[in-house]
Amino acid sequence: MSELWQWLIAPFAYQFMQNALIASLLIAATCGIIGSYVVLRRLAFIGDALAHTALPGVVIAYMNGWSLVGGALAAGVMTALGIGWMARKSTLREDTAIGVIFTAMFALGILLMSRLQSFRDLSHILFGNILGVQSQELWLMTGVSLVVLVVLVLFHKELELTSFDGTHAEVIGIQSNRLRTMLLILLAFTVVTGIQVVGVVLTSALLVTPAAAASLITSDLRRMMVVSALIGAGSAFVGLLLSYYFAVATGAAIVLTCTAVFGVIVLINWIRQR
Amino acid sequence: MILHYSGRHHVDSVPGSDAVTIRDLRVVYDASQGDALNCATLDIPAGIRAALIGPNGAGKSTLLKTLAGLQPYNAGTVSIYGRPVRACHHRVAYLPQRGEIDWRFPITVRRFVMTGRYVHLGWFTNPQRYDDTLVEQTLHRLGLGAVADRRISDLSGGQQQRALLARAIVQEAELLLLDEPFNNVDPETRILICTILDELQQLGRTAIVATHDLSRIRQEFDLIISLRAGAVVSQQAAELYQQAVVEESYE
Repeated sequence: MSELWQWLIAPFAYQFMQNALIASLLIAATCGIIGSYVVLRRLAFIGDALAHTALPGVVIAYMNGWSLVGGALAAGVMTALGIGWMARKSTLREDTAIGVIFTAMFALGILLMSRLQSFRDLSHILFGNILGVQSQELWLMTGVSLVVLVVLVLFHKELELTSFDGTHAEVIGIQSNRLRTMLLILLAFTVVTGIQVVGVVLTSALLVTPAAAASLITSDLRRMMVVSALIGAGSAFVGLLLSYYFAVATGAAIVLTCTAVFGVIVLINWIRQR
Repeated sequence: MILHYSGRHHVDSVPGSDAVTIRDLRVVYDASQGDALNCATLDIPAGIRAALIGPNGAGKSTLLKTLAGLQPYNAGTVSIYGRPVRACHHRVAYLPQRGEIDWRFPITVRRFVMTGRYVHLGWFTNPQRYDDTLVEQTLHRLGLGAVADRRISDLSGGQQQRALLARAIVQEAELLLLDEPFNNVDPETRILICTILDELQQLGRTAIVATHDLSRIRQEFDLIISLRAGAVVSQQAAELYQQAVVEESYE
Protein backbone atom coordinates (compact mmCIF):
# COMPACT_ATOMS: atom_id res chain seq x y z
CA MET A 1 0.00 0.00 0.00
CA SER A 2 2.66 2.49 1.01
CA GLU A 3 4.60 1.54 -2.10
CA LEU A 4 1.65 2.48 -4.30
CA TRP A 5 1.29 5.69 -2.33
CA GLN A 6 4.95 6.48 -2.90
CA TRP A 7 4.52 5.76 -6.59
CA LEU A 8 1.58 8.16 -6.72
CA ILE A 9 3.09 11.08 -4.85
CA ALA A 10 6.82 10.81 -5.61
CA PRO A 11 6.60 12.78 -8.91
CA PHE A 12 5.01 15.71 -7.12
CA ALA A 13 8.08 16.41 -5.01
CA TYR A 14 9.16 18.66 -7.87
CA GLN A 15 7.84 22.20 -8.10
CA PHE A 16 7.16 21.93 -11.85
CA MET A 17 5.11 18.77 -11.30
CA GLN A 18 3.09 20.47 -8.55
CA ASN A 19 2.34 23.39 -10.84
CA ALA A 20 1.47 20.99 -13.64
CA LEU A 21 -0.87 19.03 -11.38
CA ILE A 22 -2.73 22.09 -10.09
CA ALA A 23 -3.04 23.59 -13.57
CA SER A 24 -4.19 20.40 -15.26
CA LEU A 25 -6.75 19.51 -12.55
CA LEU A 26 -8.18 23.02 -12.66
CA ILE A 27 -8.33 23.26 -16.42
CA ALA A 28 -9.56 19.74 -17.06
CA ALA A 29 -12.37 20.26 -14.55
CA THR A 30 -13.38 23.61 -16.10
CA CYS A 31 -13.27 22.11 -19.59
CA GLY A 32 -15.40 19.22 -18.36
CA ILE A 33 -18.05 21.57 -16.99
CA ILE A 34 -18.38 23.90 -19.97
CA GLY A 35 -17.86 20.84 -22.18
CA SER A 36 -21.29 19.60 -21.09
CA TYR A 37 -22.78 22.49 -23.05
CA VAL A 38 -20.40 21.81 -25.92
CA VAL A 39 -21.74 18.26 -26.18
CA LEU A 40 -25.42 19.05 -25.61
CA ARG A 41 -25.50 22.11 -27.89
CA ARG A 42 -23.36 20.42 -30.54
CA LEU A 43 -20.57 23.00 -30.34
CA ALA A 44 -17.67 20.54 -30.70
CA PHE A 45 -16.64 21.96 -34.04
CA ILE A 46 -16.77 25.52 -32.72
CA GLY A 47 -14.64 24.52 -29.73
CA ASP A 48 -12.05 23.10 -32.09
CA ALA A 49 -12.20 26.26 -34.22
CA LEU A 50 -11.72 28.50 -31.16
CA ALA A 51 -8.62 26.54 -30.18
CA HIS A 52 -7.09 26.70 -33.66
CA THR A 53 -7.77 30.41 -34.17
CA ALA A 54 -5.82 31.16 -30.98
CA LEU A 55 -2.62 30.31 -32.87
CA PRO A 56 -2.25 33.52 -34.92
CA GLY A 57 -3.11 35.52 -31.77
CA VAL A 58 -0.28 33.84 -29.89
CA VAL A 59 2.22 34.23 -32.72
CA ILE A 60 1.44 37.91 -33.23
CA ALA A 61 1.72 38.50 -29.49
CA TYR A 62 5.06 36.66 -29.46
CA MET A 63 6.42 38.72 -32.36
CA ASN A 64 5.52 41.94 -30.58
CA GLY A 65 6.63 40.81 -27.16
CA TRP A 66 3.06 40.94 -25.74
CA SER A 67 1.52 38.42 -23.35
CA LEU A 68 0.97 35.11 -25.16
CA VAL A 69 -2.12 34.27 -23.12
CA GLY A 70 -3.42 37.78 -23.84
CA GLY A 71 -2.92 37.22 -27.57
CA ALA A 72 -4.71 33.88 -27.42
CA LEU A 73 -7.59 35.39 -25.44
CA ALA A 74 -7.99 38.29 -27.87
CA ALA A 75 -8.03 35.94 -30.86
CA GLY A 76 -10.46 33.59 -29.11
CA VAL A 77 -12.91 36.32 -28.14
CA MET A 78 -12.78 37.84 -31.62
CA THR A 79 -13.54 34.43 -33.12
CA ALA A 80 -16.42 33.88 -30.67
CA LEU A 81 -17.96 37.25 -31.58
CA GLY A 82 -17.35 36.59 -35.28
CA ILE A 83 -19.11 33.23 -35.11
CA GLY A 84 -22.06 34.82 -33.31
CA TRP A 85 -22.25 37.53 -35.95
CA MET A 86 -21.96 35.08 -38.84
CA ALA A 87 -24.70 32.87 -37.42
CA ARG A 88 -27.08 35.82 -37.76
CA LYS A 89 -25.95 37.39 -41.03
CA SER A 90 -24.44 34.80 -43.30
CA THR A 91 -26.28 32.86 -45.95
CA LEU A 92 -23.65 30.11 -45.73
CA ARG A 93 -24.30 27.26 -43.35
CA GLU A 94 -22.68 28.07 -40.03
CA ASP A 95 -20.32 25.09 -39.95
CA THR A 96 -19.15 25.83 -43.49
CA ALA A 97 -18.38 29.45 -42.65
CA ILE A 98 -16.50 28.39 -39.50
CA GLY A 99 -14.57 25.78 -41.45
CA VAL A 100 -13.41 28.40 -43.95
CA ILE A 101 -12.43 31.00 -41.34
CA PHE A 102 -10.72 28.77 -38.81
CA THR A 103 -8.49 26.92 -41.25
CA ALA A 104 -7.47 30.26 -42.74
CA MET A 105 -6.61 31.65 -39.30
CA PHE A 106 -4.67 28.52 -38.40
CA ALA A 107 -2.75 28.66 -41.69
CA LEU A 108 -1.96 32.32 -41.00
CA GLY A 109 -0.59 31.29 -37.61
CA ILE A 110 1.63 28.60 -39.17
CA LEU A 111 2.78 31.04 -41.85
CA LEU A 112 3.80 33.64 -39.28
CA MET A 113 5.49 30.95 -37.18
CA SER A 114 7.57 29.81 -40.13
CA ARG A 115 8.96 33.35 -40.46
CA LEU A 116 10.34 33.18 -36.93
CA GLN A 117 13.74 31.80 -36.01
CA SER A 118 12.55 30.05 -32.87
CA PHE A 119 9.93 27.75 -34.32
CA ARG A 120 10.40 25.37 -31.39
CA ASP A 121 9.23 27.85 -28.74
CA LEU A 122 5.84 28.04 -30.31
CA SER A 123 5.46 24.31 -30.81
CA HIS A 124 4.31 24.39 -27.17
CA ILE A 125 1.23 26.14 -28.42
CA LEU A 126 0.48 23.28 -30.79
CA PHE A 127 1.05 20.43 -28.36
CA GLY A 128 0.81 21.97 -24.91
CA ASN A 129 3.44 22.63 -22.29
CA ILE A 130 1.92 21.75 -18.97
CA LEU A 131 5.31 20.89 -17.41
CA GLY A 132 6.54 24.41 -18.12
CA VAL A 133 3.71 26.27 -16.38
CA GLN A 134 5.01 29.14 -14.25
CA SER A 135 3.40 30.20 -10.98
CA GLN A 136 2.32 33.48 -12.53
CA GLU A 137 0.47 31.70 -15.34
CA LEU A 138 -1.13 29.48 -12.74
CA TRP A 139 -2.76 32.51 -11.16
CA LEU A 140 -4.06 33.65 -14.52
CA MET A 141 -5.53 30.20 -15.21
CA THR A 142 -7.17 30.14 -11.80
CA GLY A 143 -8.69 33.53 -12.49
CA VAL A 144 -10.01 32.52 -15.90
CA SER A 145 -11.47 29.27 -14.52
CA LEU A 146 -13.17 31.15 -11.69
CA VAL A 147 -14.72 33.69 -14.05
CA VAL A 148 -16.01 30.91 -16.32
CA LEU A 149 -17.49 28.94 -13.42
CA VAL A 150 -19.12 31.96 -11.75
CA VAL A 151 -20.80 33.06 -14.99
CA LEU A 152 -21.99 29.49 -15.70
CA VAL A 153 -23.53 29.29 -12.21
CA LEU A 154 -25.19 32.72 -12.44
CA PHE A 155 -26.78 32.03 -15.82
CA HIS A 156 -27.36 28.32 -15.31
CA LYS A 157 -31.12 28.20 -15.67
CA GLU A 158 -31.20 30.39 -18.76
CA LEU A 159 -28.29 28.58 -20.46
CA GLU A 160 -29.97 25.27 -19.71
CA LEU A 161 -33.33 26.46 -21.08
CA THR A 162 -31.91 27.92 -24.29
CA SER A 163 -30.02 24.65 -24.86
CA PHE A 164 -33.16 22.57 -25.32
CA ASP A 165 -35.97 25.03 -25.99
CA GLY A 166 -34.91 28.31 -27.55
CA THR A 167 -38.50 28.98 -28.56
CA HIS A 168 -39.82 29.16 -25.02
CA ALA A 169 -36.83 31.30 -24.04
CA GLU A 170 -37.67 33.77 -26.82
CA VAL A 171 -41.36 33.85 -25.87
CA ILE A 172 -40.53 34.83 -22.28
CA GLY A 173 -38.10 37.51 -23.46
CA ILE A 174 -34.67 35.83 -23.19
CA GLN A 175 -32.44 36.64 -26.15
CA SER A 176 -30.99 33.23 -26.97
CA ASN A 177 -28.48 34.71 -29.41
CA ARG A 178 -26.84 36.87 -26.78
CA LEU A 179 -26.63 33.99 -24.35
CA ARG A 180 -25.06 31.86 -27.05
CA THR A 181 -22.44 34.52 -27.78
CA MET A 182 -21.72 34.77 -24.06
CA LEU A 183 -21.26 31.01 -23.92
CA LEU A 184 -18.89 31.16 -26.90
CA ILE A 185 -16.81 33.84 -25.18
CA LEU A 186 -16.59 31.70 -22.03
CA LEU A 187 -15.64 28.82 -24.27
CA ALA A 188 -12.87 30.93 -25.84
CA PHE A 189 -11.53 31.70 -22.33
CA THR A 190 -11.63 28.01 -21.39
CA VAL A 191 -10.01 26.91 -24.61
CA VAL A 192 -7.10 29.32 -24.14
CA THR A 193 -6.36 27.73 -20.77
CA GLY A 194 -6.85 24.27 -22.28
CA ILE A 195 -4.17 25.08 -24.85
CA GLN A 196 -1.64 25.31 -22.00
CA VAL A 197 -2.36 21.72 -21.03
CA VAL A 198 -2.83 19.78 -24.25
CA GLY A 199 -2.17 22.32 -26.99
CA VAL A 200 -4.24 23.75 -29.83
CA VAL A 201 -4.66 20.46 -31.61
CA LEU A 202 -6.07 18.43 -28.71
CA THR A 203 -8.02 21.00 -26.69
CA SER A 204 -11.39 19.99 -28.07
CA ALA A 205 -10.80 16.51 -26.62
CA LEU A 206 -10.78 18.00 -23.09
CA LEU A 207 -14.09 19.70 -23.91
CA VAL A 208 -15.84 16.81 -25.58
CA THR A 209 -14.61 13.46 -24.26
CA PRO A 210 -15.27 13.79 -20.49
CA ALA A 211 -18.67 15.40 -21.12
CA ALA A 212 -19.59 12.72 -23.65
CA ALA A 213 -18.69 10.04 -21.09
CA ALA A 214 -20.71 11.83 -18.39
CA SER A 215 -23.73 12.17 -20.67
CA LEU A 216 -23.94 8.38 -20.82
CA ILE A 217 -24.37 7.94 -17.07
CA THR A 218 -26.46 10.87 -15.77
CA SER A 219 -29.87 12.33 -16.51
CA ASP A 220 -29.45 15.83 -15.14
CA LEU A 221 -27.30 18.63 -16.52
CA ARG A 222 -25.86 19.68 -13.14
CA ARG A 223 -24.86 16.10 -12.28
CA MET A 224 -23.44 15.68 -15.77
CA MET A 225 -21.23 18.73 -15.20
CA VAL A 226 -19.92 17.36 -11.90
CA VAL A 227 -19.23 13.89 -13.31
CA SER A 228 -17.59 15.39 -16.39
CA ALA A 229 -15.35 17.59 -14.23
CA LEU A 230 -14.34 14.55 -12.15
CA ILE A 231 -13.55 12.48 -15.24
CA GLY A 232 -11.50 15.35 -16.67
CA ALA A 233 -9.57 15.99 -13.47
CA GLY A 234 -9.03 12.26 -12.83
CA SER A 235 -7.72 11.76 -16.35
CA ALA A 236 -5.42 14.76 -15.96
CA PHE A 237 -3.92 13.21 -12.80
CA VAL A 238 -3.49 9.76 -14.35
CA GLY A 239 -2.16 11.21 -17.60
CA LEU A 240 0.40 13.28 -15.73
CA LEU A 241 1.63 10.18 -13.86
CA LEU A 242 1.82 8.14 -17.05
CA SER A 243 3.80 10.83 -18.81
CA TYR A 244 6.20 11.03 -15.83
CA TYR A 245 6.87 7.30 -15.53
CA PHE A 246 6.84 6.38 -19.20
CA ALA A 247 8.36 9.59 -20.55
CA VAL A 248 5.57 10.29 -23.03
CA ALA A 249 3.94 13.57 -24.09
CA THR A 250 1.75 14.83 -21.22
CA GLY A 251 -1.08 16.32 -23.29
CA ALA A 252 -1.48 13.18 -25.36
CA ALA A 253 -1.39 10.99 -22.23
CA ILE A 254 -4.17 13.06 -20.61
CA VAL A 255 -6.34 12.95 -23.71
CA LEU A 256 -5.90 9.20 -24.16
CA THR A 257 -6.79 8.62 -20.50
CA CYS A 258 -10.04 10.53 -21.09
CA THR A 259 -10.67 8.40 -24.14
CA ALA A 260 -10.03 5.22 -22.14
CA VAL A 261 -12.56 6.30 -19.48
CA PHE A 262 -15.06 7.03 -22.23
CA GLY A 263 -14.39 3.60 -23.77
CA VAL A 264 -14.93 1.82 -20.45
CA ILE A 265 -18.25 3.63 -19.89
CA VAL A 266 -19.43 2.80 -23.39
CA LEU A 267 -18.49 -0.84 -22.80
CA ILE A 268 -20.31 -1.01 -19.45
CA ASN A 269 -23.39 0.58 -21.00
CA TRP A 270 -23.29 -1.90 -23.85
CA ILE A 271 -23.00 -4.89 -21.50
CA ARG A 272 -25.86 -3.60 -19.33
CA GLN A 273 -28.17 -3.18 -22.28
CA ARG A 274 -27.61 -6.67 -23.60
CA MET B 1 -36.39 42.60 -6.56
CA ILE B 2 -37.01 40.84 -9.86
CA LEU B 3 -34.70 41.42 -12.81
CA HIS B 4 -37.12 40.73 -15.66
CA TYR B 5 -35.80 39.17 -18.85
CA SER B 6 -37.23 42.10 -20.76
CA GLY B 7 -37.42 44.73 -18.05
CA ARG B 8 -38.87 47.70 -19.86
CA HIS B 9 -41.51 45.67 -21.70
CA HIS B 10 -43.19 44.30 -18.60
CA VAL B 11 -46.49 46.19 -18.69
CA ASP B 12 -50.06 45.59 -17.53
CA SER B 13 -52.92 44.86 -19.88
CA VAL B 14 -55.54 47.42 -20.87
CA PRO B 15 -58.69 46.67 -18.80
CA GLY B 16 -61.63 45.38 -20.81
CA SER B 17 -59.64 44.80 -23.97
CA ASP B 18 -59.94 41.77 -26.22
CA ALA B 19 -57.34 39.03 -25.85
CA VAL B 20 -56.29 39.47 -29.47
CA THR B 21 -56.93 42.32 -31.89
CA ILE B 22 -55.51 42.12 -35.40
CA ARG B 23 -55.78 44.79 -38.12
CA ASP B 24 -54.40 44.40 -41.66
CA LEU B 25 -51.69 41.95 -40.60
CA ARG B 26 -49.29 40.76 -43.28
CA VAL B 27 -46.50 38.23 -42.86
CA VAL B 28 -44.25 37.49 -45.82
CA TYR B 29 -41.55 34.78 -45.67
CA ASP B 30 -40.52 34.90 -49.28
CA ALA B 31 -41.83 37.62 -51.60
CA SER B 32 -42.09 35.23 -54.57
CA GLN B 33 -44.48 32.96 -52.66
CA GLY B 34 -46.98 35.64 -51.66
CA ASP B 35 -48.25 36.31 -48.16
CA ALA B 36 -47.84 33.61 -45.53
CA LEU B 37 -50.51 35.46 -43.61
CA ASN B 38 -52.87 38.22 -44.70
CA CYS B 39 -55.42 38.93 -42.05
CA ALA B 40 -57.59 42.03 -42.34
CA THR B 41 -59.54 41.87 -39.10
CA LEU B 42 -59.57 39.38 -36.27
CA ASP B 43 -60.89 39.95 -32.75
CA ILE B 44 -60.73 37.22 -30.16
CA PRO B 45 -62.46 38.20 -26.91
CA ALA B 46 -60.85 37.36 -23.59
CA GLY B 47 -62.02 34.22 -21.82
CA ILE B 48 -62.93 32.02 -24.76
CA ARG B 49 -61.55 28.90 -26.39
CA ALA B 50 -60.89 29.46 -30.07
CA ALA B 51 -60.02 26.78 -32.61
CA LEU B 52 -57.85 27.60 -35.61
CA ILE B 53 -58.61 25.25 -38.46
CA GLY B 54 -57.55 24.92 -42.06
CA PRO B 55 -55.37 22.76 -44.28
CA ASN B 56 -51.59 22.49 -43.96
CA GLY B 57 -49.91 25.73 -45.00
CA ALA B 58 -53.03 27.79 -44.25
CA GLY B 59 -51.08 29.94 -41.80
CA LYS B 60 -52.22 28.49 -38.47
CA SER B 61 -48.70 28.12 -37.04
CA THR B 62 -47.64 31.47 -38.50
CA LEU B 63 -50.55 33.20 -36.78
CA LEU B 64 -49.74 31.58 -33.42
CA LYS B 65 -46.05 32.44 -33.76
CA THR B 66 -46.91 36.03 -34.61
CA LEU B 67 -49.06 36.29 -31.48
CA ALA B 68 -46.25 34.75 -29.41
CA GLY B 69 -43.82 37.36 -30.75
CA LEU B 70 -41.69 34.76 -32.50
CA GLN B 71 -42.58 35.79 -36.04
CA PRO B 72 -41.84 39.37 -37.14
CA TYR B 73 -44.60 40.80 -39.33
CA ASN B 74 -44.37 43.07 -42.32
CA ALA B 75 -47.42 45.27 -41.88
CA GLY B 76 -50.46 45.87 -39.72
CA THR B 77 -51.07 45.93 -36.00
CA VAL B 78 -51.40 43.14 -33.47
CA SER B 79 -52.48 43.76 -29.89
CA ILE B 80 -52.55 41.29 -27.02
CA TYR B 81 -54.83 42.53 -24.23
CA GLY B 82 -54.54 45.99 -25.76
CA ARG B 83 -50.73 46.03 -25.77
CA PRO B 84 -48.21 45.38 -28.55
CA VAL B 85 -46.91 41.86 -29.07
CA ARG B 86 -44.05 40.99 -26.67
CA ALA B 87 -45.13 43.69 -24.22
CA CYS B 88 -46.70 41.10 -21.93
CA HIS B 89 -44.32 38.14 -21.95
CA HIS B 90 -45.68 36.61 -18.79
CA ARG B 91 -49.24 36.78 -20.12
CA VAL B 92 -48.64 34.64 -23.20
CA ALA B 93 -47.76 30.94 -23.16
CA TYR B 94 -46.89 29.25 -26.43
CA LEU B 95 -46.95 25.48 -26.82
CA PRO B 96 -44.92 24.65 -29.94
CA GLN B 97 -45.36 21.56 -32.02
CA ARG B 98 -43.42 18.92 -30.15
CA GLY B 99 -40.64 18.72 -32.75
CA GLU B 100 -39.30 22.15 -31.80
CA ILE B 101 -37.89 20.94 -28.48
CA ASP B 102 -34.74 18.84 -28.00
CA TRP B 103 -36.37 16.03 -26.02
CA ARG B 104 -33.03 14.20 -25.62
CA PHE B 105 -31.66 16.96 -23.40
CA PRO B 106 -30.86 15.66 -19.89
CA ILE B 107 -33.52 17.34 -17.77
CA THR B 108 -36.21 15.88 -15.52
CA VAL B 109 -39.90 16.40 -16.18
CA ARG B 110 -40.18 18.41 -12.94
CA ARG B 111 -37.43 20.82 -13.96
CA PHE B 112 -38.84 21.07 -17.48
CA VAL B 113 -42.21 22.19 -16.10
CA MET B 114 -40.41 24.60 -13.76
CA THR B 115 -39.08 26.51 -16.79
CA GLY B 116 -42.63 27.89 -17.05
CA ARG B 117 -41.94 29.85 -13.84
CA TYR B 118 -38.76 31.47 -15.18
CA VAL B 119 -40.58 34.46 -16.66
CA HIS B 120 -41.70 35.36 -13.12
CA LEU B 121 -38.29 34.68 -11.56
CA GLY B 122 -36.08 36.62 -13.98
CA TRP B 123 -32.28 36.64 -13.90
CA PHE B 124 -30.27 35.28 -10.97
CA THR B 125 -33.25 33.98 -8.99
CA ASN B 126 -33.93 30.36 -8.22
CA PRO B 127 -37.39 28.88 -7.73
CA GLN B 128 -38.97 29.57 -4.33
CA ARG B 129 -41.36 27.46 -2.28
CA TYR B 130 -44.44 28.83 -4.08
CA ASP B 131 -42.95 27.79 -7.43
CA ASP B 132 -42.15 24.28 -6.17
CA THR B 133 -45.66 23.84 -4.79
CA LEU B 134 -47.32 25.07 -7.97
CA VAL B 135 -45.19 22.78 -10.14
CA GLU B 136 -45.92 19.80 -7.89
CA GLN B 137 -49.67 20.42 -7.96
CA THR B 138 -49.69 20.87 -11.70
CA LEU B 139 -47.65 17.70 -12.33
CA HIS B 140 -50.23 15.73 -10.37
CA ARG B 141 -53.18 17.47 -12.01
CA LEU B 142 -51.82 16.38 -15.39
CA GLY B 143 -51.04 12.84 -14.34
CA LEU B 144 -47.27 13.33 -14.49
CA GLY B 145 -46.58 12.81 -10.77
CA ALA B 146 -45.17 9.32 -11.31
CA VAL B 147 -42.75 10.43 -14.02
CA ALA B 148 -41.69 13.74 -12.42
CA ASP B 149 -38.12 12.57 -11.83
CA ARG B 150 -37.70 10.83 -15.18
CA ARG B 151 -35.93 12.37 -18.13
CA ILE B 152 -38.14 14.11 -20.68
CA SER B 153 -36.78 11.69 -23.30
CA ASP B 154 -38.59 8.84 -21.48
CA LEU B 155 -42.03 10.41 -22.02
CA SER B 156 -44.60 9.20 -24.53
CA GLY B 157 -46.06 11.63 -27.06
CA GLY B 158 -49.13 12.23 -24.90
CA GLN B 159 -47.00 12.77 -21.80
CA GLN B 160 -44.79 15.24 -23.66
CA GLN B 161 -47.88 17.22 -24.65
CA ARG B 162 -49.10 17.16 -21.05
CA ALA B 163 -45.69 18.36 -19.85
CA LEU B 164 -45.92 21.28 -22.30
CA LEU B 165 -49.41 22.12 -21.03
CA ALA B 166 -48.20 21.85 -17.42
CA ARG B 167 -45.47 24.34 -18.20
CA ALA B 168 -48.01 26.77 -19.68
CA ILE B 169 -50.23 26.38 -16.60
CA VAL B 170 -47.44 27.15 -14.11
CA GLN B 171 -46.60 30.20 -16.19
CA GLU B 172 -50.05 31.44 -15.13
CA ALA B 173 -50.46 32.95 -18.57
CA GLU B 174 -53.73 34.53 -19.60
CA LEU B 175 -53.43 33.69 -23.27
CA LEU B 176 -52.45 30.14 -24.25
CA LEU B 177 -51.39 29.43 -27.83
CA LEU B 178 -51.41 25.70 -28.61
CA ASP B 179 -50.02 24.42 -31.90
CA GLU B 180 -51.51 21.02 -32.77
CA PRO B 181 -51.77 19.70 -29.21
CA PHE B 182 -53.88 16.72 -30.33
CA ASN B 183 -51.34 15.37 -32.80
CA ASN B 184 -50.24 11.83 -31.92
CA VAL B 185 -51.65 11.84 -28.41
CA ASP B 186 -53.64 9.09 -26.71
CA PRO B 187 -57.41 9.59 -26.22
CA GLU B 188 -56.98 10.07 -22.46
CA THR B 189 -54.53 12.93 -22.98
CA ARG B 190 -56.88 14.51 -25.46
CA ILE B 191 -59.76 14.45 -22.98
CA LEU B 192 -57.47 15.76 -20.23
CA ILE B 193 -56.26 18.67 -22.38
CA CYS B 194 -59.85 19.67 -23.18
CA THR B 195 -60.86 19.41 -19.52
CA ILE B 196 -57.96 21.64 -18.52
CA LEU B 197 -58.80 24.19 -21.23
CA ASP B 198 -62.34 24.18 -19.88
CA GLU B 199 -61.08 24.80 -16.33
CA LEU B 200 -58.79 27.58 -17.51
CA GLN B 201 -61.74 29.20 -19.25
CA GLN B 202 -63.64 29.22 -15.94
CA LEU B 203 -60.70 31.23 -14.59
CA GLY B 204 -61.09 33.75 -17.42
CA ARG B 205 -58.11 32.53 -19.46
CA THR B 206 -58.11 32.50 -23.25
CA ALA B 207 -56.91 29.63 -25.44
CA ILE B 208 -56.22 29.59 -29.16
CA VAL B 209 -55.68 26.09 -30.49
CA ALA B 210 -54.52 25.12 -33.97
CA THR B 211 -55.98 21.72 -34.77
CA HIS B 212 -56.72 19.27 -37.53
CA ASP B 213 -59.07 17.22 -35.41
CA LEU B 214 -62.63 18.36 -36.08
CA SER B 215 -64.54 15.45 -34.56
CA ARG B 216 -65.66 17.18 -31.34
CA ILE B 217 -64.87 20.75 -32.29
CA ARG B 218 -68.35 22.11 -31.54
CA GLN B 219 -68.28 20.81 -27.98
CA GLU B 220 -64.67 21.66 -27.24
CA PHE B 221 -64.50 25.26 -28.49
CA ASP B 222 -66.50 28.49 -28.40
CA LEU B 223 -65.18 30.15 -31.53
CA ILE B 224 -64.00 28.58 -34.75
CA ILE B 225 -61.64 30.48 -37.02
CA SER B 226 -61.06 28.98 -40.41
CA LEU B 227 -57.91 29.87 -42.35
CA ARG B 228 -57.02 29.18 -45.94
CA ALA B 229 -53.93 30.32 -47.85
CA GLY B 230 -53.03 32.75 -45.09
CA ALA B 231 -56.42 34.46 -44.91
CA VAL B 232 -59.30 34.15 -42.45
CA VAL B 233 -62.20 32.72 -44.48
CA SER B 234 -64.73 32.46 -41.68
CA GLN B 235 -65.07 33.14 -38.01
CA GLN B 236 -68.13 32.08 -36.06
CA ALA B 237 -69.52 30.75 -32.83
CA ALA B 238 -68.98 27.01 -32.46
CA GLU B 239 -72.65 26.10 -31.94
CA LEU B 240 -73.54 27.72 -35.25
CA TYR B 241 -70.78 25.88 -37.04
CA GLN B 242 -71.76 23.59 -39.89
CA GLN B 243 -69.73 20.56 -40.83
CA ALA B 244 -70.17 21.49 -44.50
CA VAL B 245 -68.34 24.78 -44.00
CA VAL B 246 -65.52 22.95 -42.26
CA GLU B 247 -65.21 20.49 -45.09
CA GLU B 248 -65.28 23.24 -47.65
CA SER B 249 -62.27 24.89 -46.03
CA TYR B 250 -60.29 21.70 -46.56
CA GLU B 251 -61.01 21.41 -50.26
